[in-house]
Amino acid sequence: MSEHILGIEALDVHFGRGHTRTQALSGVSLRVRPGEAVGIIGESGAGKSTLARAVLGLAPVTGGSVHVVGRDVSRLSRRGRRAFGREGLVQYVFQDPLRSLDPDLTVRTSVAEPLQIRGDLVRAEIDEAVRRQFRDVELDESLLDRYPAQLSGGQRQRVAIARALVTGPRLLILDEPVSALDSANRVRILQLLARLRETTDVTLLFISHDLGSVAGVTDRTVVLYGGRLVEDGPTARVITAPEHPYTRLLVGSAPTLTSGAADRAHRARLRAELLAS
Amino acid sequence: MTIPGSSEGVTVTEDAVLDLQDVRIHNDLDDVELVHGVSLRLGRGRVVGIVGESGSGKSLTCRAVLGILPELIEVSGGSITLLGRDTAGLSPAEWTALRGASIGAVFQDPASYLNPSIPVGKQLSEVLRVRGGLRRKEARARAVALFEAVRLRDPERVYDRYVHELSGGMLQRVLIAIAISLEPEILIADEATTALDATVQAEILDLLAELTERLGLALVLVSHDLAVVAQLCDEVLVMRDGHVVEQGPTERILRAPREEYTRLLVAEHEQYGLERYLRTPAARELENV
Amino acid sequence: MLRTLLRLTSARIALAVLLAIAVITVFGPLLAPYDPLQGSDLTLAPPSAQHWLGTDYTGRDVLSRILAGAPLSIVSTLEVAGIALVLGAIPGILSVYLGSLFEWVSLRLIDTLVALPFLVFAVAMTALLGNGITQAMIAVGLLVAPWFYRVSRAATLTVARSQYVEAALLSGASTGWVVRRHVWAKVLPPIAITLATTLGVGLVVISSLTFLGIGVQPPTPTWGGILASDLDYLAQKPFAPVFPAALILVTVLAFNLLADAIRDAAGQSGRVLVGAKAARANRARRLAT
Repeated sequence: MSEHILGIEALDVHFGRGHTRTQALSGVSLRVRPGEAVGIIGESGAGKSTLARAVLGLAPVTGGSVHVVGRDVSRLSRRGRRAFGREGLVQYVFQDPLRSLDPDLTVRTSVAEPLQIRGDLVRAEIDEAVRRQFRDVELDESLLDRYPAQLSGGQRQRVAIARALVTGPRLLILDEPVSALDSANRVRILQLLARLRETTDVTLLFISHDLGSVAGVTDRTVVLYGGRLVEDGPTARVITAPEHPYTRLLVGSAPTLTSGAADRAHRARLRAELLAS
Repeated sequence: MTIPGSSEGVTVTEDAVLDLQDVRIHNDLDDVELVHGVSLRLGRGRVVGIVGESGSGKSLTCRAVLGILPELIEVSGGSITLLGRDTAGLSPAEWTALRGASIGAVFQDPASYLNPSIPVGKQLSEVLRVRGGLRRKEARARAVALFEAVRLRDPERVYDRYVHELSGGMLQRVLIAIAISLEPEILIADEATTALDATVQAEILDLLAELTERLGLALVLVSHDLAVVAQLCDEVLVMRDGHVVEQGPTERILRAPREEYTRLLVAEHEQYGLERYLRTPAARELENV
Repeated sequence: MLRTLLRLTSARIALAVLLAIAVITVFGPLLAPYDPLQGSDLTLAPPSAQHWLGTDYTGRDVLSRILAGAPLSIVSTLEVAGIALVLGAIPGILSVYLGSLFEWVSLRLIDTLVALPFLVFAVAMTALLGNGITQAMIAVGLLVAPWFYRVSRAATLTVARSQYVEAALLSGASTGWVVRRHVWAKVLPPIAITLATTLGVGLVVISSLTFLGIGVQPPTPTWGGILASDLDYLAQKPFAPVFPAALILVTVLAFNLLADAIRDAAGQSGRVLVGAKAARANRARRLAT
């Protein structure tokens, strides 16, 4: 367990009480080594956000456990969660930077916020850390005093990443980090994340509903379907030789530059297969 | 000699249902031109795709074709001919008559285009009764038939469902049903699959392809993803910053892109997309035979 | 936001009018040419050089009475707004953070206050607590508090559920931090709008109460009271009620105009509104070339 930065064992997560009780995750097990980049794929409702929340210590765990950097985060109290958050070991990049940045605060203030909350640095040190982080995500310092609405989508996402990295997290969870961006910015962010992996040993968890968007950056892909982990393996293998019917449908559904009418029939067959399973 | 921006190699043997000639769109608030000359000809039953990022002008062009440009933004040059009629001089009443009956549209985020407190079936019936002149029972029957045509499972039950009870994919099918209910000749799908899950996206695209073939619908498919467009379209326009960067038959654009930007779009897929690992399953299957 | 506000014509008009009213309120009694309580033999005189607005039924100068009545009417209105703000906005913001019991109890109390009819409640309160302006103000303030409660609660809820607050919470922020850093700035504009609207409504209510003789006894001058007494002598001085009524009207109008202006200035619509004139100029220029 000690060589794994993230250890999820037979995790069960239930929401609600009584007859409205639903099971979001069922028996999920996942072990991630430091420095790995893992893609977590699944359709909406499959449980990927719930899994992310469990790693952050925010999900109502009803069975199993979640260990991050050796610590059990599955049953934290409110105060425990706050303390864990302040340590800044795990950070989260939201999907839409327009919504995840306060529109009335300058980006400088937004990026500084995690450090200010932690409260152990003086203003000058925080300022220096913010500027350093800005440079690391290739943003010009002149943008520091702008408001989110004045930046482009790509710049905003880099601000969000800068905010997530400013506390030096060991584990970074990214939720659809590039789906809202244009091609040029998508490539830039993916290159940025690749560089990040080279220069630090930060572990990356990519959440997406689309296999194509994580294919280029992850070493390993796991697939969630109906709250269960149905596939787990090296990305290349999952894409070229998927085992589970849902994964096969996923691979068949992802739009590629060469797919066309011939594949429509193929997809229809895969859908039928999935329903039958 | 090829006129810049004109479609090369695409023979239009019948009259175009939609004809844009050097359309320019201007923002009067900031006094800046947003779209700098878009030209395209769409024939009956053909599919044209517009690829571009946000800010490229693709959505503005669609809105201009539908006559729903936002306040203070106007078509400042060129012409739009819809089913033989120049849309420049149309009155609001004439526009209303055109929309739905001649041209339909579906957009991103289907839930926001439906009334959350009325069953979705009733909303389709409303269109059929108000514009189609059908009586209540006929409208209901036709609505259920339309739901079946868009491949909604159990169309009778879906009729009585509310927005919050249906998934994104089902809602988009409802909207497609509404869009084609008055049997328009043209359908515009502006980022219609963007907010949907990958498997659902494929289903909707397959549905649009099927409808194009079956109903002879002319389709304008707009997306930021070149692969989505490549899947269905005969012709592709690549837009950036309001300019048409490149335009032509899909195969040529993908195989031999001429412009830097188009090459970037293709390369992005090959470097970071599934292309990195595979050719399509069907192609591989064919190889194994 | 203040700068955008000052660029709107409506805001400038409103603030100018309110400034004039403020001057009258502060300096009114000093500017009055005659003692407002001093009667004379010259009763019900028409406007003249000595008495600009004439005299009332006991020979008192009308202009002096109106000027002297300003402080009571306006200051009471300000006090009503102040009571409503404190009793409404603070519980409204707290209801989001102090747990479900506090939320439920405060919501039910507010619902109860909303259900009570304004003037009837005010009259009943004064009957209960005595006929004084303070009691009337507390009653009205209490009844207006729900507006502030709902507005500040709604604004706080939007912020509390937002992603940037979630991001702060993930980094270990306490509730106090979130309120100070994020909630405060979002809640102030809606409260400002409600305050402006409340001032308008408050003045109407105070005038109505004093018109009915509640809260203030003659001979103390108030605008509502002057209006009431003027109505008794319509036969002799048919135009008399115009002056106090006009003042009330103009002041309330200014408050409402200010409220509209704040609402327009706070947001994207503010930019478009301010830019509309410039946009029209741009368009004209573009079409002319």
